[in-house]
Amino acid sequence: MKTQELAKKIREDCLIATNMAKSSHIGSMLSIADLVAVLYGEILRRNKNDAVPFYDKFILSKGHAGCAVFSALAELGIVDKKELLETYFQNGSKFSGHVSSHNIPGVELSTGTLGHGICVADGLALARKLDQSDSRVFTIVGDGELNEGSVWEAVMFAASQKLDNLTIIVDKNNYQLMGKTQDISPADNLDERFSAFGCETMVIDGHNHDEIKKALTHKPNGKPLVVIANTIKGKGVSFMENNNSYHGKTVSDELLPQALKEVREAK
Amino acid sequence: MRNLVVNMLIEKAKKDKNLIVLTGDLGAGALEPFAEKFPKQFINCGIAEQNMIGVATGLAFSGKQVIVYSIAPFVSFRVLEFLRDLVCYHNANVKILAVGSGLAYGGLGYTHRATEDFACIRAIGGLNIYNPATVKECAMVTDMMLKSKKACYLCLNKAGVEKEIDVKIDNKNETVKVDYKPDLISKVKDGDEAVIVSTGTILREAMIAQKVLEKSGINVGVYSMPILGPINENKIVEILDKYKYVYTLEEYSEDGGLGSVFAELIVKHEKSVKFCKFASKIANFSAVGNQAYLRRVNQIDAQAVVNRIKKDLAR
Repeated sequence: MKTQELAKKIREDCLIATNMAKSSHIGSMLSIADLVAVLYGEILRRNKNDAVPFYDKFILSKGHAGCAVFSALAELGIVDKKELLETYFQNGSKFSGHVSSHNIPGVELSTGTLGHGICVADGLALARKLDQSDSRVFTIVGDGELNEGSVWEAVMFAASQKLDNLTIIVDKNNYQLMGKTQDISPADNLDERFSAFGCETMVIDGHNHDEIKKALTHKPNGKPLVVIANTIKGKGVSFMENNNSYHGKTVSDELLPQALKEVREAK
Repeated sequence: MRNLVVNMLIEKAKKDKNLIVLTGDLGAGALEPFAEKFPKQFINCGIAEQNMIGVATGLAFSGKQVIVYSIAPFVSFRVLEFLRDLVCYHNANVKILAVGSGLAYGGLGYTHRATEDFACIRAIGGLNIYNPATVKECAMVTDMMLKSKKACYLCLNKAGVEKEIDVKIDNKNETVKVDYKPDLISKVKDGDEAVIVSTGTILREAMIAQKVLEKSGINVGVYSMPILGPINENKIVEILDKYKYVYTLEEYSEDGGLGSVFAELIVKHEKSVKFCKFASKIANFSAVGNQAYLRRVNQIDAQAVVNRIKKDLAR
């Protein structure tokens, strides 16, 4: 499946699942859908091991957008799509609102608390360096998540340990729960900030698959790579784009058909 | 005890290149022998304990056995959510060496003590918790820790209780011998009616109290608990069945410490013992002084124990 098609499926699944759940972080799921589609569609190499399906490792540090990962795994046949769409967020389900690795092969880490996943990504990358493995490690952090001090602890550590097998993707959708990131804890000149911490940086359009692929196949030398992906919160649904009420709100039953039509017909 | 653990890590690392030691920029004077022998297996993570726990988790996921070294407050309260969400929830093979648990770093002030670490670590569950009193207990629990696949939290003081404690009792020089076989709950002395159950190096106070009381004709039993998680409930019930007066003695806080564990078990098993816990008190948090002084301030020293037991037994 082409990564563009995978991204459409992810958006569809997330809209349907969060509508059913009546709880969501749909705006954030839609902003990372293209990043996740390229990662799972083309970048992450597979193992021949059902319990450990991926040779390269990906951690979603912004765990609230986890349904996008569940959906990608469903499209790859690693988890059951019907089960995902019928049970997400429901009593007794294994698919929680924040991404969970428990009983879900392919998810490396349960996250939800921000500023955790990137630290574990450091550890995965360090282990691969120690073992002289060519397995790579990727993580997505939100720009709101950059408020967390532990993110910067992790970035400093990655640079000091020269973890050039680690790629940190910043989903820069410019919003966090209560408003614009710029108004709450400004995150401008991110590339300069990460460069100053000792990382190689790239700034890309986080919805352009060619740019994403180019960034995620780039191998830096001796430094961790930080890809600042400019994205749009709610991307793909006209009334959700840059509408921060959809941080937590779900699409209504009335608007769901229109939302699905828009993501299906997107070019 | 600290050097003993480092030596045991060196022995293990000789055979296991997957043993990795992380430090939060602490351990000068203790970790150098390991770092010099195994430079590729030793990483100073800097003064960034939260990230260090994440790194430890990622390493553990990749088949490493990770030892995390710092002083107790910085690998308990400072990182509690990281321990809960990453290490416990994912059952990561991470061993925490929490140096100076309790009142050991008393003179450094409130921030450097860890009287509530046991309560916190116990509450999040999933970690084996060790608090040895002597070098022998320390060797036993370190061996258990290194053989275990579970996450562990080892409270560690620089020195264990000495084999012979020199004290003055009624202005006479006395020597209290500390010689017992370490066990899951170590029986140190048999007693008649009353028992002191101690955890960690405060066993020293229990031993002195035992000697003083013996001279007054009161034979108290003494136990040491080097393993605080999982709690050996059956063994504690045996102690509750045997003794009428039960005293717990610890440097941990009276809120959620070993005394709280006993109180819960006494209620759960409907035991009709007379019970009292000797533990650190929040009201004394601002007191400054060495470990011996802080034990006196908190009334968890030998004299406080003697006074209470004499009063309870009305002698």
